[in-house]
Amino acid sequence: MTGTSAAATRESAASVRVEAVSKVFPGDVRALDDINLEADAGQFVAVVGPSGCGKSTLFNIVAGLIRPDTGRVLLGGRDITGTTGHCGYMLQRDLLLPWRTVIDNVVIGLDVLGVPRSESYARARELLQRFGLQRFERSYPAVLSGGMRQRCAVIRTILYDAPLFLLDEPFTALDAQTRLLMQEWLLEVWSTLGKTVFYITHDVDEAIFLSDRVFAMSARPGHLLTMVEVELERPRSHEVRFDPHFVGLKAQLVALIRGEAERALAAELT
Amino acid sequence: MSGVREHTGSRLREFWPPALLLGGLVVLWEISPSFGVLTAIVPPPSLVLKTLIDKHQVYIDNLSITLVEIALGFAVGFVIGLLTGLAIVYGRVAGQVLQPLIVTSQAIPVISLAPLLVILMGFGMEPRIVIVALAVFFPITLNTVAGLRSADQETIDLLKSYGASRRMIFRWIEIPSALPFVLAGVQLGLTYSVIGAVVAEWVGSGRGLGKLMLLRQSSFGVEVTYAAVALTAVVALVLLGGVHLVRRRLMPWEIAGRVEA
Repeated sequence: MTGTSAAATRESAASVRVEAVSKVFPGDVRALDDINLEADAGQFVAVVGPSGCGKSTLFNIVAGLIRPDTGRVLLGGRDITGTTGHCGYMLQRDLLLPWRTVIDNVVIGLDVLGVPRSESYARARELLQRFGLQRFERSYPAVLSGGMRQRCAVIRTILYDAPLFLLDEPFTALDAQTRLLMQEWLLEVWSTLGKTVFYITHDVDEAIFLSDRVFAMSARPGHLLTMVEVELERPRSHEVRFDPHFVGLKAQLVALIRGEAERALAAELT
Repeated sequence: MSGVREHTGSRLREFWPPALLLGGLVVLWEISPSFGVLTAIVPPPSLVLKTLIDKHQVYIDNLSITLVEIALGFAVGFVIGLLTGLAIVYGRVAGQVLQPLIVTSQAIPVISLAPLLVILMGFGMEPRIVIVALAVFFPITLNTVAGLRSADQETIDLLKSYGASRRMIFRWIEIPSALPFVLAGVQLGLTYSVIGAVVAEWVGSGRGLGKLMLLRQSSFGVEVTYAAVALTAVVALVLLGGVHLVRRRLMPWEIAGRVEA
């Protein structure tokens, strides 16, 4: 880690453990069933599964927005179940506030923490510069392209500087080409930050490309199917997708998840 | 830059056709007596303008009365409407009790209450102010509720995940989300308040633009009715134009989206 990144001032990366987490929603909707996940400090970990497998519920539990019925979430060994303020949280939608300019949007996490604007602006400018958005500092999000908006959301997440990044399908809404570029860009950014990342996706290809470790989840009620370690050199370029190890993992995971999706579909139809 | 200039150019192009039509109609109206239209029923614009100038003191007096009714009524209706909207959204009991009542009673045409209010409150300005306040109250309340509820849940969750307080979420997300709705309510409310003030003046005695419109009350000619109608239209246009300016001031991001996106 270069350690001089604009944001590395609050907390460094921490390990994350999700222990025996289950959640049933009112109406006996069993969303999660005994989920165990683990990420070492600074690891990039993906969770893949068919839609409706409770991935987002899992993330909301890790973020502290929902309390699990059983189980707990540990961050660096500390129990953080049901408490907020530990995670940089990023979704498919960029969630930029239309009434805030680009710079006011990216510092919103620091606003919550009560960091004075003089300081948060200085940090934001450094990142906006680095990611080629300095020209848009005073613009409203409405004038930005989808890729630029999602880069702003990444900057907002970096500036909040939590030990854990939670990314829930952040690039799904982008077109295929932009999406691939954003994945490579994200890896590049992540390598300079050294944060622990939980990345949700339904795209096996994306999960393997980005991660050190991939957890596969079943259809509802979500439980763990398998965990694979991705042993591919970093930094990775897009050619890594043709590596035999990559292809082997992909075949294995796609088969598993496809089987799950078929099972879920059959269950819906009967 | 060229984009901006083109934009202004197209605005000008859009301006001319309706302006020409309007101008043509006014000219036609002005020369209508020569086609045999009776000036005692349709006085030409020049005559209406003449009474406005000659009797300007009468018009100013009546106009100011109506404006006071609108201003006081609007202020009361706006404040109570806003507070009721907040109570419905954030007070659990208030929401359950008030919302169905307000949604239902909104169906009652406020103006039909005017005779009743005159009986209750006498012939002064009070019943008119109440009519205006009631007319403003409903759109403001309902739009405040809809606006506050339009705040995006995922964005609220994002801020919550950062550990934001209820107050931060209110100030940074819910208020700005509600703003366009409340301003739309203000627009509607102002239109209603002009109607409310003028029509309420028709009931009971006293003065005001509405009163001036009633021919039987006036010892002047029919052009007085026309002049009062014209002044009422000007009042409504100025008020709505004002809201438009306020909207641009309060919501600069809206313009940014429209011009460049």
